[in-house]
Amino acid sequence: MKKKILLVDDEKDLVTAVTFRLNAEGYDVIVALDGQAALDMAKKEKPDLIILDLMLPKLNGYKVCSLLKADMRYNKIPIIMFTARVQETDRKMGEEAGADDYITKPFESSVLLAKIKEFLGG
Amino acid sequence: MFERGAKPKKGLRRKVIVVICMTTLIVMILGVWLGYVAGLNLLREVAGDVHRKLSQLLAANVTQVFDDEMIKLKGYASEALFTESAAASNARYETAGDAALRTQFSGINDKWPKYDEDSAPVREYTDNGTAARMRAVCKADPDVARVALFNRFGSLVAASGKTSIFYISNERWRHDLLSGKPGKILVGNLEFAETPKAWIVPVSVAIKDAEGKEVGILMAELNVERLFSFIGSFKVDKSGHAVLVDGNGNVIYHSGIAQTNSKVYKDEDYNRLVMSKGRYATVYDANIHKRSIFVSFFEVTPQALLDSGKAWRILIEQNAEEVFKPLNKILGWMVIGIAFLLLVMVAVGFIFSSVLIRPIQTLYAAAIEISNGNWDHPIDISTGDEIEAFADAFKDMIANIKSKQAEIITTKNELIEQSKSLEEKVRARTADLTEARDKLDAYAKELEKALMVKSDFISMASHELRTPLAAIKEGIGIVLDGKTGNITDQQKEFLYMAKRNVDRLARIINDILDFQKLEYGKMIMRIKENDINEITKEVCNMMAHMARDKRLELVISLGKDIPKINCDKDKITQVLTNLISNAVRFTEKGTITVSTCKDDNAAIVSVADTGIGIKEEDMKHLFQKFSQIEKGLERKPGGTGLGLIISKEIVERHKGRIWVESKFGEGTVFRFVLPIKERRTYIKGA
Repeated sequence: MKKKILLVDDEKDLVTAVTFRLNAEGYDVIVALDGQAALDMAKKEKPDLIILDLMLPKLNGYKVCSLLKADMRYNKIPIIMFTARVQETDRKMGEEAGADDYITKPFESSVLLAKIKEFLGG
Repeated sequence: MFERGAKPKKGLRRKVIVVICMTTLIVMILGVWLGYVAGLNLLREVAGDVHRKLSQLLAANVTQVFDDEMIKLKGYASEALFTESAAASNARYETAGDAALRTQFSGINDKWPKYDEDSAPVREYTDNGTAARMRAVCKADPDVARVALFNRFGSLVAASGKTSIFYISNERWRHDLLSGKPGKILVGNLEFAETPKAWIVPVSVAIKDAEGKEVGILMAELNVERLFSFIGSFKVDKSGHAVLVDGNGNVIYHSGIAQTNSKVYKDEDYNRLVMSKGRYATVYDANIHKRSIFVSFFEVTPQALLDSGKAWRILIEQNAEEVFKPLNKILGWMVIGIAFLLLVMVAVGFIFSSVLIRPIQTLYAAAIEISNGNWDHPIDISTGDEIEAFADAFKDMIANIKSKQAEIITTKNELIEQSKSLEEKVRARTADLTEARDKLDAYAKELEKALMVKSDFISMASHELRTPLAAIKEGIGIVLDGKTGNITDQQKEFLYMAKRNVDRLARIINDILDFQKLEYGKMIMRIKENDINEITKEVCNMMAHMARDKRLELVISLGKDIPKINCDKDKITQVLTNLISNAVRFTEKGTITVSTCKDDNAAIVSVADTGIGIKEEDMKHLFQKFSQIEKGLERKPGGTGLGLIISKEIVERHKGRIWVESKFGEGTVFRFVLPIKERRTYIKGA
C-alpha cells in the first residue's frame, strides 16, 4: 500500500518537480493549487501527510493548517510547512497553527525526504 | 528736549520772574501778617488806655455825686424831728413790752406789702408831721425817691410813702449801723420801688439823740436813674458809652437801656475783665449787645460803698468793629501795596533774566550753528561768570570733536578699503562653495538613485526570487539524482555547477534580506520644492503601459492653482507608483482615475479604481505593519504587501496623511494629503 501525500503549492513548476521526486521515492502524490482546494482534498482523500505552502491563493497555509488540526478527524495527519519566508516569526506562527515540521524554500530534497520518512516510516 | 531752533516753552526768564515774585509774595504776606498782629495789639493797648482814662474820669464823677448825696443824708439824720419821733417810738415799744408788741406786729412783714397806699395801717405811718417833713425833703432833692425812719428795734416809725418793708429783719445789718463807727452809712442792693415806680438803691444811717445814743435808722432810697443820668449822656465815637455795674457784674445804670439789675456779661467774661492787667478786654457776644464789645473799666470808690463792702465799677463799652476799624483800612492799603510791588518785581525779574539769558541764547544759537555743520562759528561770550566758563569748555569740546572727527574719517576710509577687498574674497569663496554644493547635490541624487535601485532589488529578491529558485533547484536535483534516467559524468558535473550556483544565489538573497533588516528605518528624505501635478503626470506616463496591458483606462485630472510643495519627489513618486500599480492589479475592467486638488493648506492626491474593493474589516489593517501575518496571508497577485506600509511611512515623514475609502465589489479610492506650508527640512529616519 503506497503512502498518499497531499502537496499544496501554487507554483506549478515546483509542484511538477516535487511530484516527480516523491513518485520516484514511491509515494502517491495528490496536488492542490490553492488553500480551499487543499482543505477539500484533505477531507476527501485523507492523505497520510500534507506538504503545505504558506502563501496560497484563496486560503493561506496557516488557515488550512489550523482548520485541519482543529478537526478531530484530520488532526492526526502530519503537516510539513513549506515557505519562502525565513523570519523567526513565520516559524513561530507555523508551530502555533499546529504544523508538525517546517522547511524553507529553496530546500534540499534529501532533507525533505528525510522529514517525510520520519513521519511515514519505511 | 526741544526741537532745534524752537523757543523753549518754560524759559529761564519765566522761571526767574516766578521765583522773584513768589519770594516777594511770601515775604509780603508774612510782613502783613506780622504787621497786622502787632497793629492789633498796639491798637488794643492804645484804645484800652484811652478808655481806662475815660472810665477813671467818669468813676470820679460818680463818686463825687454819691458822696454829695451822703452828706445830704447825714444832714437829714441830724434833724430834731426825726430824733424825737424815733425816741417816742422806742419809748412806746419799751412800755408795751415784748409780748404785746409781738402780738401787734405778728406777721406784719407778710401783710405789709398787700396793704393799699391809702389803707389805715399805712396811713398811720405816712400821715403825720414827720412824714410830711420827709416828703418835703424828697421834693427839695428829686434824687431821693423816698425817706423812711425806723426805731432802734427796726420797726417803721414814719415814711414819705409806703415802704417795701415794715420791719428790718436783718439784725446784723441793723447792729452794724447802730453799733458801728459814728456816721457810718450802709448801701443796700438795687431794687425796684413800686412807689414811685423807679429803680432805687437804699442808703441807711443811724440817728442819735442829744446824749449821742442811737435811737433809730434813717433810710433814703436813691433814684439811680436820676442820680446817674449824666452817665447816659457820655459818648465815645459812635457806639462808645458807659455802664455802671456792681461787684458781681449786675447793671445798676446803663444809658439807653431800660432793663437793669441783670448781668452785663457772662460771669467768666466779667471776671476776665476785672482780672485783666490793662483793665480792658474784648468780650465776644456780650449779654446785652449780642456782639463783640471792646471794654475798659475803673472802680467807683465812695466811702459808703467801701464801708458796705461793695465794689461798683464804671465800664466804657465800644463795638470792637469800630475800635479796630483803622487797622482794616491799613490792611486795604497794604494789599494795594503788595500788588504794586509785585508788578515792580515782575519788571525787575524781566530785566534781570534778560541780563542772565542773553549769553545763554548766544551760546544756544552757536550750538545750533555748530550742530548744523558750521564748525567755525564764533562763540563770543565775555560775561566773566560761570556762563563764560561754560562757553570756554564748549569751545574746547568743539575743538576736540573736530580733531576726533578727522581721525574717524581717516579710519572710516581705511575700513571701506578693507571691506572692499574682504567682499571680493567672500564673493570668490561663495562661488567656490556654490559649485561644491551643486556637485554634492548631484552626488546625493546619484546616491539616492543607487539606494532606490538597491531597495527595489531587495523587495523583489525577498519573496519573488525564492519560489522560482526552489523550482529550479528541484528540477536540477531530479535530473542530477538520476530519476529521469542515467546521465553522463560531464552532464552531472555541469548540473552540480548549476545546483551550486542556485544555492549560492539563495544564500545571497538571505544575506540581502539580513542587510535590509539592518537598514530598515534608515530612509533618507530629500526635500525640495516640487510641483505635485508634474510628479503625477510623470508617474502616470510611466504606468500607462501597465494599464494598457490590462486594457484599463487611465484618466488624469489635475487641480488648478496648487502651490509648490516641499517634498521628496522620488518618495512621492514611489507612493503614487505603488497606489497606481495596486489599482491596476486589483482592477479587471473599467477606469483608474488619478486626480489632484488643493484643500486649505494642503494638496490632495487620489487614485480611484473600479476594481474589486476592500472589505471593511480589512481596511483598518491595510496600513498596519505585519498586517499580512496577523490578518490573512491570501496571496495578492504579484504584490509584496509591503507597498502600503512603505507609502504610509513616506507620507507621514512629509507631515501628511494617507487613507482609503472603499466599497467591496465597487472600487477603491486611496488618498494622501501633503501640507503646502511644510518647511524645508531634512528628516533622517530613527
